[in-house]
Amino acid sequence: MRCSLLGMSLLLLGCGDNFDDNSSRVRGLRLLGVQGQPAEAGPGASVTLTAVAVDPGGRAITARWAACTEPPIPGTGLPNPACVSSDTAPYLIPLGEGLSITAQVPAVDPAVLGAPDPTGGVYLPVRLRLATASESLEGIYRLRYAQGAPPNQNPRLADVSLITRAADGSVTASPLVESEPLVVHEGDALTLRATFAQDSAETYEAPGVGGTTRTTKETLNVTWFTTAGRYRTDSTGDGVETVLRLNRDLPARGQTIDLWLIGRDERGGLDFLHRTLELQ
Amino acid sequence: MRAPPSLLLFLPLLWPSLLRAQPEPPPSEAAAPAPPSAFQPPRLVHFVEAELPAELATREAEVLLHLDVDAAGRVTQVTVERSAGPGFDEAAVAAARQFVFEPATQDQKPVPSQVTYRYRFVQRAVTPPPAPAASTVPFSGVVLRRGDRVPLAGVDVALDKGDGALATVTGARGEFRFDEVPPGPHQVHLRGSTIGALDVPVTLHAGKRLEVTYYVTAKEPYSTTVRTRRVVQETVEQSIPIEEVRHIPGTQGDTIKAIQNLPGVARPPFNGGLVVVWGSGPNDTRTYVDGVFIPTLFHFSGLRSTVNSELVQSLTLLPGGYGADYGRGLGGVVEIESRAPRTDGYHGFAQIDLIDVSAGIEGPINDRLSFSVAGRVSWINLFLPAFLTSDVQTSPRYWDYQAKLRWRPTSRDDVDLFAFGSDDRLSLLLKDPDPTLTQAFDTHTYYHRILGRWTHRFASRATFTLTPSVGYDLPYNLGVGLGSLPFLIQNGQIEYNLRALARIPLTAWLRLDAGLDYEGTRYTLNATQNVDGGLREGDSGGFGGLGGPDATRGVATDHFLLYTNHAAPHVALSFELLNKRLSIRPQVRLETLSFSGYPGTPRHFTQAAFLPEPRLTVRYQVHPKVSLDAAVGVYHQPAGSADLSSVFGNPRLLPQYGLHYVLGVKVNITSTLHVEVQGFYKELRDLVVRGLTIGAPPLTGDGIGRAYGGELLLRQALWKNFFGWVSYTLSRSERRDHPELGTPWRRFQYDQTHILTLIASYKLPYGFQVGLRFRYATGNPYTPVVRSYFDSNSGNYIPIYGQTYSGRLPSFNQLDLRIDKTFTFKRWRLVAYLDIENLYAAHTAETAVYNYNYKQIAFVNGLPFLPVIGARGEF
Repeated sequence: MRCSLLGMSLLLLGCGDNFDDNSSRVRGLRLLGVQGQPAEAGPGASVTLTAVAVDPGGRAITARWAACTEPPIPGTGLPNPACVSSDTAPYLIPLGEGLSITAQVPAVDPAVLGAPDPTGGVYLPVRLRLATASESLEGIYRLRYAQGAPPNQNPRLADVSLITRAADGSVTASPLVESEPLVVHEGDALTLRATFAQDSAETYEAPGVGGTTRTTKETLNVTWFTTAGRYRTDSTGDGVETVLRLNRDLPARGQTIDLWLIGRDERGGLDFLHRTLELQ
Repeated sequence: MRAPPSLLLFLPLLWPSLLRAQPEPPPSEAAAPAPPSAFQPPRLVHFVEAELPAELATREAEVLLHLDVDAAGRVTQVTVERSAGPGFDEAAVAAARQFVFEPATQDQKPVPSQVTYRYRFVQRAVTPPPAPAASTVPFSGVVLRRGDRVPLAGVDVALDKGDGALATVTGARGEFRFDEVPPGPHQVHLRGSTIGALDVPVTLHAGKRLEVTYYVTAKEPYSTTVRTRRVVQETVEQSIPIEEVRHIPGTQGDTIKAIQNLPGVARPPFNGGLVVVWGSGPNDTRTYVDGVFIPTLFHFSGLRSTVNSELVQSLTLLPGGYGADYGRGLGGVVEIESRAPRTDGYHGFAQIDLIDVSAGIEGPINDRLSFSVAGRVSWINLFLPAFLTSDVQTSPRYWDYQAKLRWRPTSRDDVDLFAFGSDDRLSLLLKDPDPTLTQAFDTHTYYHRILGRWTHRFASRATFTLTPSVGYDLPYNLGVGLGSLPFLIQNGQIEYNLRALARIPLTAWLRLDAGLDYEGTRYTLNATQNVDGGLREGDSGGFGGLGGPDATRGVATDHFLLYTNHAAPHVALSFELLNKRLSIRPQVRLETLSFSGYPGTPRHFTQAAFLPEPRLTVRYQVHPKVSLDAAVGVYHQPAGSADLSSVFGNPRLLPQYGLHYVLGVKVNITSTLHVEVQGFYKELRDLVVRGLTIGAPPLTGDGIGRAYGGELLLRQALWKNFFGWVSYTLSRSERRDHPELGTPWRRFQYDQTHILTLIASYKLPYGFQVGLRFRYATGNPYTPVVRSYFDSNSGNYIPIYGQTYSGRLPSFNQLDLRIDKTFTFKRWRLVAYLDIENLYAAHTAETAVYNYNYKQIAFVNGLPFLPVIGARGEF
């Protein structure tokens, strides 16, 4: 649980994790992200929606997609909770089934999409319902609704590397390869670093303070997931290191550990990577 | 709570003495000066010695009298409470009828009072014939209290014993004088009921006059118990002597923080500075300093009050049903009266603890002019970095100041010039490996006020008070960076106020009060923030945080300029009937509210409302020790200025409406022990709530509410070194946001069913004092999460809430301890204290938090144990 407290109360509180699980540990059915390709689209445009959905148990995952035209509840600016509470409401426009689909963006009045976010964008909520034989969950992907400005592009995760530091201080970055699981051992502390491809962070025009317009560059981040061990920090920036400690929730020797990385920009763009470790 | 209109004074024992009547020392000087309070006791300025029949002239006796003193200081009635027998009683009564007092004052206005007076007839030593002038020398001096050099009047000064002894009594300035004393060694004996006996050798030399200063220890600094109430002003108001308040555990000696221990006051989350009384919102209770509104009572959410306790004369909480001189608030009133600078020499103080340092000085400039200056600055920012990680950088700072000048051009006029203000600034950087989660806050809040106050006391006992003031507020200034996304909220307000009040006695049983309460503002808002404008009462969420800026939600921008002009003439009639046993006070306040927003732009709007507010208070003295009180009144509160924004609020919001009913009984079990029971009901309408209609303004005035309950206060004022109280409140506060849409009643955000406070403090020998405070309160409501969904764009789960405030935090209980040690030196006094909050480290749930996907819930606890060490010196 991350605390974002304002004022002196911050200094008087003990904020921190109070639970025995955290968001980076994948135990059951999880939706880690949704990628729209393109990341920004207008009415009638074709968009491919891909759910980064995982289930460590290997069960089959079904996915149903629907656009939600119910306006946000006034004052919240967030998608209307009604978008996830019904399957058949008239404000839900079915888009298809499957973990990856291609659909046409429905035409809606941008005014009902709510107030622009701090980047100046409005979003069409796309409801995704995932299910396995024993679990289900809902997610919403907010598709940035094109309004004439240069459209946002998805960022691209270039690689994830294992960082080693020699006694002389030299640093070696060894990219992890999807097809060649890295062999690890119980108790290892793996220093990992994810980097984005060049130009992933785009420059765009956004509303500034006091009604002005400002040119700003996207801020990118990476969210880390694993089926074993625990990250020192499960959310980092471009080129920022984290450490995966393999000291808990480990599989049997010879089994694999799955890592997922979700890279995001601040305008709804997304990319993902999967890597595997082999525990010996 | 208000005390009964009685005043118990103690006469110093006389030794050695001649048979004579001894004047009782004036209350403010006989004992240690009464602690600053709204009430100042009457002061005897003209004493008349009783004439005894010759046959009684050699006997000692004591007559206990009860005096009624009117607002002009005249003794209107004398009754014998304890007789000394024929002859003595008549002589004492006849003499007391001729006494003249400087009248008691309430909030610096003369009021009638009652005095219990002990008239003692004692044996006076026979003074030998004076020696020839050529062989004597004058001997004079002053008697001051050790520690703060307060002159002590009424102290018996005897020079030697037996034959040749001389005796006198110190005057109002503690002075004494013997004109003709034989040279040589002598013994000076100082005696009095309020001081420790002091015997001092002194040697006088022929041809040399001698002047001395004696510092004596006050035996019982608080022996004068001042207890009073206003003359049928408020049905419910709570006042506690400042000296008691200073020793309440958990307040760190901050007088104003003690208000949170009074009945009817809910415990705020995180021990914060919100004042929630009788189920009303924090913003519904207004705080006034000398009649001038201030926006912030505490630094940094309750850390310290913004008005230095040292300059506070009285602190009064009016939880509801209050009089017509205040308004624009549906809740209660916190009334802080600054005290006049001292005129008995230069005095000062300095205080330091782990949080801040403060200092002040006061004294006379000349016979008519006096001053006081105080300041405080935090220094927590100097050592805080030692306790923080490199990922958290913060620099909290605050300061406040007060400067007062009092001019007394005539005995009937007081003119005050009072400047005061407060400033809080917090810069906070929360670094995160994820740049989108790095947060930078920069908040700044301040207010400044300059007020003038002229009080004139007419010969007819009428008074007139005029208080113009100006001020500038920065109620909330916030700059936030979330990653590369900036948020900005800037409020600013210029205030120009005028308060006038005339109190005119028309007959012995009827008084007319008439006044004007004007407040004008120029408010500006410059904001780029989330469209919801931040959390407000009735919102769900805020888990683990305070609802700060959020990049996930929509944002909007507004530049808002608003002028307000609120004027309220008010009038009240105070009837004192049935030999003053029945007091009836009908009142009316004619509230006129006007607003002008976005002037000179297409969005310009104006709004005005004329709102009569009738109010009535009644008090009936069923028995000398039992009184019944009742009040009913209509109140209005304009919407907050920011709520009138056409982007974040609604320019058409009407004033919110409240109707208060209060009924209570007060019983004075003894002169220091009393109990009060109050019941209240508040009906609220036109409350500002979030709108539910797409395309309509974000806020509407559709809400209604109700709050009802009862409270009990059992209070023992200082008695035999002990003081304490038990306060208990049972209440319920509910809101209904959209009755037109059939939304159900829900709990109010700070609804607490049970609130219990127990306070006990005991003065030990050797300057020690120990106090305990125990508190219990029902946990605050919270809105539970019933399900959640994953938001792909942010990577977070988004909660879906259940019924608003249908959950309850675990109940709160906590024990606090305070130990004081007072070191008294000749010219100054040092008080060191240890204040420990949460002695047994109870888990104090302050808010609910959920895990990442809202499947598990836990509670964030407050600090388990908070010791604060401090010291305070005064001279």
